[in-house]
Amino acid sequence: MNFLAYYSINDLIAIAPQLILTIFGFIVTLVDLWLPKTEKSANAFIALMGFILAGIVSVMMFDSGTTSAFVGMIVTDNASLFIDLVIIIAGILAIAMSVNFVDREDINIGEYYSIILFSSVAMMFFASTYNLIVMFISVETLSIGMYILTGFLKNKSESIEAAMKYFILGSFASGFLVLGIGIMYGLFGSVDLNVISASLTKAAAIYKALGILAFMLIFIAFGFKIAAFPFHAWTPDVYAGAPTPMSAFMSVAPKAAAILALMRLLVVGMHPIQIEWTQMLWIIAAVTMTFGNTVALWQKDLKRLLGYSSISHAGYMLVGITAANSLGYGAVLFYLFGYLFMNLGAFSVAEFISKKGDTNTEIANLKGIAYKYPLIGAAMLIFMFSLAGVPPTVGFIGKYYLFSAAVQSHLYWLAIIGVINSAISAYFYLNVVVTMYMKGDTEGEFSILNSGLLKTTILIGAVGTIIFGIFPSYILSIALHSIAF
Amino acid sequence: MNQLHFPILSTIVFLPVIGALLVSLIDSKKETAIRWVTFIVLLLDFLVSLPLFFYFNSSTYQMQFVEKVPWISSLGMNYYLGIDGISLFLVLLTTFLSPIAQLSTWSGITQKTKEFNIVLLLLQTGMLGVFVSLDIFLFYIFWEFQLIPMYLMIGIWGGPNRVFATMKFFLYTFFGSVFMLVALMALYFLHHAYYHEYTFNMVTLMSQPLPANLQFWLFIAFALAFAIKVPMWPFHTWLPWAHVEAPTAGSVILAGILLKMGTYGFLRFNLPMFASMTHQFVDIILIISLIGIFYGAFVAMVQPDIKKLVAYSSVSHLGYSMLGMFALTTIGIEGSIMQMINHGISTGALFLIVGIVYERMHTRNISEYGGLASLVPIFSVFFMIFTLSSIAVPGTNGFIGEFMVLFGTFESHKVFAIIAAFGGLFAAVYMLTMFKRVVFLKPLNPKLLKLTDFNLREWIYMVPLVVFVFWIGIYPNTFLSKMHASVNHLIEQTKITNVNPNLNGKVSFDNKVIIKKSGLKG
Repeated sequence: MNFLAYYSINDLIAIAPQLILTIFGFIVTLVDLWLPKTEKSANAFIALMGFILAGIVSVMMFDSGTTSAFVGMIVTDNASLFIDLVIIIAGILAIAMSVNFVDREDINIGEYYSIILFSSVAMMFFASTYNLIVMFISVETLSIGMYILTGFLKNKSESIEAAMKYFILGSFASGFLVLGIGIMYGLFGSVDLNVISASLTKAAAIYKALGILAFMLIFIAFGFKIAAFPFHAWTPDVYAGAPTPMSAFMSVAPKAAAILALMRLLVVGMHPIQIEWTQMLWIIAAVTMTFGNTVALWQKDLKRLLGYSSISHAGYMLVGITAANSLGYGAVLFYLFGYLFMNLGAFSVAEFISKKGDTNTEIANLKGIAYKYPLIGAAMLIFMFSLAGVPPTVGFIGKYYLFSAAVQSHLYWLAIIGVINSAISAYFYLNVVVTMYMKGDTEGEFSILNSGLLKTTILIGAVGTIIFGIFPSYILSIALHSIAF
Repeated sequence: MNQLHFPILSTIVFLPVIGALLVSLIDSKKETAIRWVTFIVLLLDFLVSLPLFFYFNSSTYQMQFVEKVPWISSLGMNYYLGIDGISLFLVLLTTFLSPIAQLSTWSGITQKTKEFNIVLLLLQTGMLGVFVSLDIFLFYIFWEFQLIPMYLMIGIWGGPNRVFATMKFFLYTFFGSVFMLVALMALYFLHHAYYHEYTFNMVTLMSQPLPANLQFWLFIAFALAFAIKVPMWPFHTWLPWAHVEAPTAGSVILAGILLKMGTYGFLRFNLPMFASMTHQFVDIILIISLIGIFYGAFVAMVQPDIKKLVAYSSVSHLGYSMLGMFALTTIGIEGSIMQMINHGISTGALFLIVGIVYERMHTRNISEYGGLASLVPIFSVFFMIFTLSSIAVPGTNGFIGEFMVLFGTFESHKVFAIIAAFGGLFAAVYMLTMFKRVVFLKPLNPKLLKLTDFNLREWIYMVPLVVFVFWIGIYPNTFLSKMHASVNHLIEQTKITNVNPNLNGKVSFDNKVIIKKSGLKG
């Protein structure tokens, strides 16, 4: 068989960002062998270069139309490039958070960075395909990276435990995914969502019912990845146990990829059963928001709080998908972009107050921090108000569009549940502010991770949260126009 | 652009932000410098706002000093500012009260002075933005944004229960306004469904009829947000907490300006946009206002704490404002606006008075005072003026507002006006009893003998308030003449039955789910 008859150089161009990251992943792995133990930070530098280069390339590729590569298995369109950019920025910020952290925790080895790079590649593939098998492969690849990174703090039992939990539950979810794909293939003879959609339209009632069953099995895996209720159970443990920079990365990047893949699955593949999936998603979105916010009310640990809050934010994004209109899909992309800044920023503050062993991240330890470190305090204030959805932050604008998409589709009750949830969430986010500002000064010294890069991350997060909250126009129109389906 | 060929409203709104940036650059140990800079910025803001008054064209109801710049143009949102005769005085009240409130903090706020002044300046921007926005989305952003500085102000510089008070304040208001958020989304899509234009322009939205069943829910959603802010009975429970715990300047701004945002919201949104529903809800709101008037007065009577007493009197005073507004007569609405301004001046001044003695005595219990008339005569004179103004004695500003409200209500709802008139009686009971116990009688508390009278700074910020008490009380036409045109137009708007029977309540929004096949062939 002639290889060149099927593949051309254009295929490689279509996956240029992924390729760049892969190459840099290998470079890190190789260079790491020659680096003395004191110079390991060079790995971070190489990885950063890779992300920046990939970022530049994906910005350049933007708006050059939809290209499909590898016989239609990979599709690069504006939406996937948008998500690529989200993943890349998350990667850059996470690496900036990591440099001094891994030094302190004594886990400064090259694999840390190469795994980040390789799993980012998998995430990007996850977001740019209509092929269920490619989705499966990429979800597995990215998950394995995430399992390893979760358990990277090898001396901390919570970290190992979280990795184990994540791994077992994740494998379970993958099992459902394979089963669902198998049934789909058995029913419609294809793993391509476009074909499945076409067959599903014409399918007889019994096949349609089986198709819905298969879809539900597939959805379990997606629900697991984006931490939607009732597949959320791993989230708080993993976010609390994993190294903080990785919790931050995990809360945004894989989620962004999974959300876009989910939209492709639902909007393109499952279009014929849209009525069924909107009903199902309505309930899941409402319960996810409410569960995440209610349970977060009692959290004492900042990372765990952010874990539950990320569940509720997944719920908000599902509202946008449930609305099933182009405003909703665009709003989801915009929300992911905004969420990147506020959530990574909030995790950075959690890292800032942590002690060796990645402990000491209780909310109570923020007491008086706003007076000792006024800028960090102000940044955290911005993150908290943004997560709660108070203007003029990007969190508000994002939430506004998600809920207004729901209103546009006449899902008034879902929008009302959403805004009530915003009000509930204000309570625990504001409690963090209360601790920082209103419990008085602390005389004692703070034990902080004094890292310039970490402070820069916090600053970038805060500035992004405010700037895109006041001038959302540009990113918003890009997000709205990125959706090709 | 506008009659001044200068973005005056933007300047007024964002000057405090620049001030806040300036203050944030000053070393936090240089407290005096921080106070001066803040004060000068606020004073400058007031001076810049004065041309609004002088160049205001009182013969038209159209929006003036308009600025309009596309903001999120793909979705029809504009940076759209402008004022009319209704918002003019609220803007001026804000710029007038803020420097006064700031002056009162020079000795009161000694902890975290820098942060306090930054918060105060940001609060100023939030409040002004609410009054000048003509784009509902922009309005909502300012409306929510000002919660943040107020939340910090009560929570950081407040009394012993400050955390509870500030959480209650924030959550209560936030909860109310999220429903407004859904309502304004619905309004946005409804407008597009009927008139094929995406807009948040208030002026356009006001003039467009809507079907009755939708108006009902929209009215309720907006009214809830504003009723909590006013606060109307039974949504008032956050107010005493917030007032009592807030620092003096916080109370002054809360009572003087923040509460007016609620009444302003009713005037700006509910009355003109949902005119038909307004008529249907008139009786309910009038009754609630009456309950508020008497409830506030009765509860105020039994308060042992001066500040709490003044806080409850606010509930009563704003009941009058709401009563006059929903009488839906020209005099009633003008009275309502006057009542807002008067309440800002008199109650703000009373909080300042309380703050002055509290700073010296560290107590607000009425029972620990007595005989101040002989100890601090100047203080007592000022206290008396504001007490009388709060009771609405003829010659003071309070009388004008209350009289116009009652007069306007009498035109349309005689029974309500007659009942409401007795509210003034109770106001006299609680205010005068308190005044007697604090200022007259014998000074039993030995600590009182050390009290000192006004210092220069206190003179400076109290005198302008007294000037306005009498100015409005004796010649209110300076102010009334500016609002006639706008109020008359508002009355016209409420008279139009803006239920459009041709519009079907069951609309389908432009809700295309665009499914384009990507360029792939399976």
